[in-house]
Amino acid sequence: MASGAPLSPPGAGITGSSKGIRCARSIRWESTRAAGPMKGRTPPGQPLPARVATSCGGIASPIAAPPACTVPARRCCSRTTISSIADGRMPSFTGKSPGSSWGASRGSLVRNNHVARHPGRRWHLAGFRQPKLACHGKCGARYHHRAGRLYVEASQTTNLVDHNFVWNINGQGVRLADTDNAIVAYNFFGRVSEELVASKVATDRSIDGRKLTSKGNRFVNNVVVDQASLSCSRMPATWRTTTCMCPPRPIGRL
Amino acid sequence: MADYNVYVSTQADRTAVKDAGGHSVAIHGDVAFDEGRLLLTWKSASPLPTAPL
Repeated sequence: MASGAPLSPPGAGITGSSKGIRCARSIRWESTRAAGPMKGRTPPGQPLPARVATSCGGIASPIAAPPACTVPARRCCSRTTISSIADGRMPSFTGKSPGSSWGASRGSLVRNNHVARHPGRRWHLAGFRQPKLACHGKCGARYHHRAGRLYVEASQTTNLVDHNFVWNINGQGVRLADTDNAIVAYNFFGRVSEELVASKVATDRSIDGRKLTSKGNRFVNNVVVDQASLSCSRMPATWRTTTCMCPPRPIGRL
Repeated sequence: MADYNVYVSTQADRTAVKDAGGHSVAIHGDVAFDEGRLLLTWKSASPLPTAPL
């Protein structure tokens, strides 16, 4: 198999404001495919070239399968920066400090993060005033919460959860509570012990006089590894139920 | 709605995916994720599907 380029240290070159976040560091990418190796650098804040995502992710490209494909997981914005931007605090993301929690947020963008080995915490993206959230990155490695590792709550406008590595989760992968019109796309799911995506009406709250619902959510263009071989083979039903339970998988190679 | 997803099985006894959408596919492949290097590697035994961007 081909090998990827080493990643830059996390936390470098980060900028942002209280109303948003953007990545100041460019994203390095590398891939090999039948047509030959590709290398490049994506401008700061820009998505990866489509051909990289499609050829290596195997998601959306009218090309033949590459003989071997390598996708370096990407890191861009630092963990602490994200937290400080989100709510004015600076949690360390270690031990018992808060993970990442947004309340009444709007216009937030969280992308290309690496969140790992953070027991008992989760990404909590909540908005009661038309937030538009996008969470990208890698989330996983020995989480223990039963709730989703990527948690979008109480939103009636479109939220985007994309380009994440959701990996080694003892619980749900993505949780959409009282959320409409979320798009979960271009993610990699592996070793998620419960639902990949759990979408449900969790409370009886209202926004602008309308009861919160759970509809119009889409799970598209994702890569799911081995989930179908477990009892979660009825994954699509997780849009309607949260009873799908799978035993945690051992740590190590898939 | 779930559709246009790729369900990869690393086991020979692949389990069918129900209600995955008419455009989703199940394929067999080798997948490994190096947590230390943050590196995903995989090989698929069959062509990858076409899906809209």
